[in-house]
Amino acid sequence: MKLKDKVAIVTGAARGIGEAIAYRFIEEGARVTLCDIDEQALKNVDLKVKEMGGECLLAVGNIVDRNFVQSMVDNTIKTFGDLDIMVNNAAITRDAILHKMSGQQWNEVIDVNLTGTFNCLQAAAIYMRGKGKGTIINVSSTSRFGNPGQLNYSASKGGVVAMTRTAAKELARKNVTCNCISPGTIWTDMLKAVPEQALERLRSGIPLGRFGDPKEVAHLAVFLASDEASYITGQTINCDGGSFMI
Amino acid sequence: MPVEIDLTGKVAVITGAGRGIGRSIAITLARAGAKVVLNSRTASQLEETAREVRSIGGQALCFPADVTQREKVEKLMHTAVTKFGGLHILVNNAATMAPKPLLEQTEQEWDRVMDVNLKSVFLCTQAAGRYMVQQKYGKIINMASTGGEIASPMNASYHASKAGVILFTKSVAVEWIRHNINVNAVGPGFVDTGLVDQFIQKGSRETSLKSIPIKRFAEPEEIANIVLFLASDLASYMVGEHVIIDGGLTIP
Repeated sequence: MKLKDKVAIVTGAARGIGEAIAYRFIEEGARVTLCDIDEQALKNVDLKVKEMGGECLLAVGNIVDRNFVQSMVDNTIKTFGDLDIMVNNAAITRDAILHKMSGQQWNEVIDVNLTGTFNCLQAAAIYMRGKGKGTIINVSSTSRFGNPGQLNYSASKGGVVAMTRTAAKELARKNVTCNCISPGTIWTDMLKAVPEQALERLRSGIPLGRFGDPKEVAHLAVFLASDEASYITGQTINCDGGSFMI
Repeated sequence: MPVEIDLTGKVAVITGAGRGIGRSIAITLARAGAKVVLNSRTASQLEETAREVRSIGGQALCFPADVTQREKVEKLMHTAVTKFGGLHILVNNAATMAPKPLLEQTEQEWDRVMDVNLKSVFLCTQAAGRYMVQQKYGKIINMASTGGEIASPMNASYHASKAGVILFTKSVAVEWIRHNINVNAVGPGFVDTGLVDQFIQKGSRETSLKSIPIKRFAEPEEIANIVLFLASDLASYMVGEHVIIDGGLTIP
């Protein structure tokens, strides 16, 4: 088991990639705090974790709220005795073409994807640098390379990469690593909202010829979270079927 | 259930397997169950790697040869297929360097660096690819380097060759993914091997350490871990990636 005795927090754990990461972490022996704003969906994940015989703690709330984030980190440490892995996966989309994008659409995405990620990153980093060990995994997206209709989302995901690099540089001497996964088009609820015609166009742009499975991203997250990846820091690793080889 | 990477029934060819990162990769893949075909020019070093593989219950075959020569490369892949019954994983790891001010670099040195670091990757990938395309399965991992992305003085040939490996990786990755062959690259920074001492011969280890945010060199095993991951089906959605593992040395 690659994460035996480790304690992790996964944000956005109620569905999609975050949910898949949560299950894989549990399978590898970690105890996990599951964070999401959607309580009902999170309870379903909780049930499944219990079925698997895993241990988890639920944190229902909004990562934009700094008090919520701090209490989530505190509760995790109080309940499980430690925090080894922070996975900043929670994100939202509010797609619109640039000339039609509202200020609200922009703000909501930036709030959750950037400010929320910062809040979690900071709270976890303060604890981890104190104990001199830990790893943080941020989730970006290949939309960071620019994706029409997602000006807000792509800007936020580019920001996540920049935060990853800066945090990695700052935290390395404290033996805390920080990396980023950049998934391509993964078959999740977020994608299921896209019209069929657009889906076909997306699929034809992937050299592998198919969408990714959330589990394939989760495998990479497990590797990065494990001690096997102890020398990797500051990196953004694409998991995208070859869509962007940058 | 936890997922253990199981390479039982898989055959891996590793070039430059006599020491350093290559040896560690061979042992790591063998520990996961792969039968390993070990290549480098120096038979005695290969035998030592093979001994270590066998000591953990693995199967190893030594094939000492210069992989800059086509006939030898073809024979290497043929040997893997005939002796071990297949060829599923190729790790192009053999590399050299001739660090020197550019004005002093000889054409012969340049050619040797290009041959060992780049041409051998072409020859091995092509020869192994003939089997992999046919069987519709393959994992190719090219050892690139942070030096393929970021430059340092007095090593132009090395940097050029490793940058070549990265784009070679990406081009072949797109070309062959339809044959179910994943081609990726791994880019180590400073690793505690003999080659790193060549690279930093002009400065001290301490100076180099200062430039690494994580304040230590990598152990060869840490590089082998990511190679194992990429050699497994867990990384099936990764195509044409260059995964840098450098302790933060070259964070852009």
